[in-house]
Amino acid sequence: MQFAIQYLRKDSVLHRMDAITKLVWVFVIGAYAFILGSPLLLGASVVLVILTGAVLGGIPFAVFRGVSVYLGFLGLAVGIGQLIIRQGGAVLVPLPVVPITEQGLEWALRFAFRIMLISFASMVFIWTTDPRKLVLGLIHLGVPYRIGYGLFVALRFMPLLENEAEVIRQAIAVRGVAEVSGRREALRRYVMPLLVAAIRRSEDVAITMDSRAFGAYPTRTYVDPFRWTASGVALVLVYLVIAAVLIYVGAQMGGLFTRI
Amino acid sequence: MTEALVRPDPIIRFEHFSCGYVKGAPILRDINLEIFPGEFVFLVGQSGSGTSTLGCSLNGIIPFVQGWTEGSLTIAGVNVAGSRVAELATHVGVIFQDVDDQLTNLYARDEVMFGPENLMLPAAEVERRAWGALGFVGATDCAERFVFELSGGQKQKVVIAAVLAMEPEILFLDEPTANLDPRSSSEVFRFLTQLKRERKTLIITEYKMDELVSLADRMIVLADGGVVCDGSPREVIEQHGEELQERWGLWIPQAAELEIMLRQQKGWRAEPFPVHTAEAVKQYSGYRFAALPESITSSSSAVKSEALIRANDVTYRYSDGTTALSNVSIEVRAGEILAIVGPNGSGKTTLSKHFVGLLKPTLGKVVVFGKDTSNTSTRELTRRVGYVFQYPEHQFVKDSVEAEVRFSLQALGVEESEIGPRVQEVLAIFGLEGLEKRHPYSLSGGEKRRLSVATMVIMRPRVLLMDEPTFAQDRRNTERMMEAVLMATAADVDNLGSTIVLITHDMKLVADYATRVVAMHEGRVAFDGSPRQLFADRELLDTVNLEEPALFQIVRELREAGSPVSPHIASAVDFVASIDAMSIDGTGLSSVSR
Repeated sequence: MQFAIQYLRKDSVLHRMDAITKLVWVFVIGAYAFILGSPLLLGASVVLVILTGAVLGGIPFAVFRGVSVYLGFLGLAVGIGQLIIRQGGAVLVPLPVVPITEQGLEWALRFAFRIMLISFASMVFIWTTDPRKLVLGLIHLGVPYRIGYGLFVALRFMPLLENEAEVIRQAIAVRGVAEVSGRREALRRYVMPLLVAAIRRSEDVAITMDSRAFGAYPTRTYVDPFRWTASGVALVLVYLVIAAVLIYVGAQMGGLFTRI
Repeated sequence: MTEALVRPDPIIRFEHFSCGYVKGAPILRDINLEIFPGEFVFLVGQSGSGTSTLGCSLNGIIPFVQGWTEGSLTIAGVNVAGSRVAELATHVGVIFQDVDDQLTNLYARDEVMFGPENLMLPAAEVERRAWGALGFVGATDCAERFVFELSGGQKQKVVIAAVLAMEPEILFLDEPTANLDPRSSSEVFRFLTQLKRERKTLIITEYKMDELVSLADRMIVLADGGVVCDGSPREVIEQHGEELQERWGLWIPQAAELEIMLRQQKGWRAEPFPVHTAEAVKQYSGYRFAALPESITSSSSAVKSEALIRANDVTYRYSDGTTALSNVSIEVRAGEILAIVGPNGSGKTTLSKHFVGLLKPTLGKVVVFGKDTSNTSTRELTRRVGYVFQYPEHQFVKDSVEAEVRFSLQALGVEESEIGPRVQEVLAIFGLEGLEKRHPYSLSGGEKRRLSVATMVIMRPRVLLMDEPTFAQDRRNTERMMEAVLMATAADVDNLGSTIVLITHDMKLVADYATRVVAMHEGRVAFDGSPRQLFADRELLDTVNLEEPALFQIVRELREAGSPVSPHIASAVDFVASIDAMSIDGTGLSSVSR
């Protein structure tokens, strides 16, 4: 059930915004996250994105806190990798095999913040975007509606299959396959009914959609058509300005790609 | 002859029509059938007799999406073979069994608008139709909700609304209430009544007939790929009732079952032949009822035996915080057949999963054969408690019927020399002989169900749990399965007989087999007592969204009408036994001494 619910239903500026300009906003952030090199400015950007989500999207801080654990861990993992790979400059902590060096720390922070910045922006997008609006936006941009709706159906059935997978796991656990035939066999036995269930469902869904005249005409009516929103354009413009300022400041502080 | 002149042209005409999924293996054979506008057709047949296939051919799924056809099928003057699925969709709306697979949008409102939008109707017209359809089924308040948040009954309403929004003249509903609790089922029957008034042509398949016989104008029985009976429900059931039961393995309405028994055993004929409960009450209120034999009234007072499973104050919360069970205390006692009933989402399955440790209580304790489930593995618990899941396919782990059953014993570590005879014995009891080499997935619905039960029963569990054992099963399959279960589990070590837990919506199953019922409602135990007590408590039935089975309804209404019928009657056999004269006014009175 959790999959599709990741979209948090609310009424806010971000929720009302059209999905396409909001997606452009995510791309703008993605782009400057890679241009900007300063860990300090990247860290500040993470805070800015969280504030944007909280203020304009009405997302409770508890929700941010919920994912922070995972994103923090991801950032940490990437950071430690960098710490080991990028050795150079003054040694800050003289550990035996991998001493923490000045350059190592800088790259660690840079990558950790980059990952977190992009992830948080994407999460804000997912939390505030009704999948219906995203599909309508994509279709508006020229994606054939049959493909657009494919995404819809996937979102709709992911939780169902997830649920079914759990039931099958339990049904097989009751029979004791893992204990008797080993884990590999158990996995094989688990995949088979799941596949059968998925195929049965996809057939049923195809039949249902066909019998509701899906795909009968090259286009279809949309009761709620896609509409560009001024707030979306404004958000993108504001972030372009922020990006320009940050990149300028970053450059002044010692180059876009290198030092603080 | 004159009737033919008055009748309009048929809206559906099958002429020498055959069809199937695999070339050379027809499901329907040489069907010749005419259905007229505004008719309400009740289509019945054993599982696998082709009722669903007929639905798929009506909206062109066969042959345009899968399968083949021969002969001709004309719908509203349109030849199906020369049409398209989209065009047919405006004539025929088909509602299949599984509601989840028929909800392809995220919001209920979008689901209902989906069809009209695909038809490229103007947006205003789409809205008019969608809100109209949602209003008709009483689901306007669901419009802005996610479809997966809806209850089973609400989902079914939205699916019906989605089809109605396409404004088809013909509606085909394939077991529309199979997954619904009794109350939601009644609601569906109410829409059907309304649609009938609006002169829609309706074709409905169902195993349970009591509600439908009074609504339908016509009853068509399919067997062996062809039409074997066709007429008004009264004609068909009066003339072929026994055949429907014995030969085709179908249920017939309770009223008709009683009448057939009375005609056979006592030679009394009520005219006209009663097919639904109200008619039975009317006809039998003139009959003279005797007190029941002692053996029947006393059988209900069972002695409390040892508790094999005990749930103490169990609360269960899902990871997302939803409370599925709150403070549930319940015992499963040796030798009883306990039915756990309640509306969809009331916590029945969640509770039963605690009995084999598949779920562990958030608060409280579950003790199974003296072991606390919170620190005992499922594997350990399933040595004593067998759990049969709702969908048999979910539990199949081998490639042949024999290996499937054999596996259960291998998993227990039973000696190889002992396995062979036990496998043969169980296969015989469950009517699976001769199918040993077949792949479990290739079996029929009834065989799959019996195999899934056999894999558990062969382990000689002390308690057998079955989740919706009668789901999508016809009468014959249900009876064969239950008989086999009772036979195979009768020889319990304590000689107390079978200990069985049934999780079910099927009130007939409860009435026929259960010795005790627990009714769940919103995660709590709302009732714990005998089936008779449950069915007698109208207020309770109302709160827990359940309905009494037809037999209990007949008995209650007879008593309300002043007939001295014993309230202890629990079966058709009891009912017939308790009547000792046909009428009290002397006409046709034939007193019988038993």
